[in-house]
Amino acid sequence: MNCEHVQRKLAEYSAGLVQGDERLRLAEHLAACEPCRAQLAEYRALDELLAGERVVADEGLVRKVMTEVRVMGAPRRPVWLLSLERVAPLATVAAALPLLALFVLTALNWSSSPAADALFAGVSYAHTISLGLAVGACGLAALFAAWLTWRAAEAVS
Amino acid sequence: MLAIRNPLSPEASLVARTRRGDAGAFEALVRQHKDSVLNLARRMVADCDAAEDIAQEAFIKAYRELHRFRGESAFATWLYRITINEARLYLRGHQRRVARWERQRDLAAAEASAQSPTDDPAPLTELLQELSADQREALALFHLKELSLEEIARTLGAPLGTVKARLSRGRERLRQLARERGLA
Repeated sequence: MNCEHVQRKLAEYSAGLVQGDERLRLAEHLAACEPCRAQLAEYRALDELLAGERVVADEGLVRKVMTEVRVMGAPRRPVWLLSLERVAPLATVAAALPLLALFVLTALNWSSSPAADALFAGVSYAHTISLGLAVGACGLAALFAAWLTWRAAEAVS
Repeated sequence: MLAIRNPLSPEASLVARTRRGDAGAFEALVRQHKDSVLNLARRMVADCDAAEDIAQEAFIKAYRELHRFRGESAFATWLYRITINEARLYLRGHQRRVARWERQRDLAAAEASAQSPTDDPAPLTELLQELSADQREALALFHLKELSLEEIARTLGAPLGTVKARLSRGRERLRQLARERGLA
């Protein structure tokens, strides 16, 4: 391990971000290398300086926040978010219906039953594909909407 | 009901009491985190008055948006994320003013460091402003000494490796800047 490599790793090493064998190898090199130790000391000095610049928030901050909070009253869940809890199951059903329809249409299209033949009589293959894609897209969009709704409803529960 | 990470912790209890309308519980949370939030804001924007405004707004937003806190992370992590967003908004909203102010400050800092490098009460906090926003955010959170690397990554919404790289490059750049200004 040469000085160039060690000095490239010093920013991480001094912050405790290097672990395991690599940390041991760096420590070994530092024990024997004065220039690298000097650079490590600079990082340590910076950390101490930054820690020394920490400030303490005065009572004024608490007072200002609490004055505002008391004016606002108890935290409330927005009504529109609360209603999502009721909407979420409906959104899931809305997502399931087009997907179910797509499944049934596909199954019928591939079957050779008289009912399927009657249903798809005169309908071209391209039309069937287009219909399937449209229904599938609606289903996926509704599924995504349902997922968003459940997520939002969960956040307020 | 949402799953608070540790439902028995005193902090979770304060959050629950605040949700029930106990303002005293929220005051306890403010007292618990006021120094960290102010220091985080200060390292993000350097300006003391702006930092206090950001800290105040962060607490008020946390109170107003408490229904959004899902309890999957510590309350502090969530609060720091709000603080960083507020600081970003401040910096974005005042970009031109800040840029002008930074140019003036650099000139003043250069003059001041030539005369007496120890006159500035928070020279490193000032130097942080010369790092990229990503590096500054990572360093500001890291120097709170309260969060693990994983929590910093979650707070910033960035992968662990990216945060580690930002910290490493930020520290290296800060050391170079401090040397140039005679602080290290």
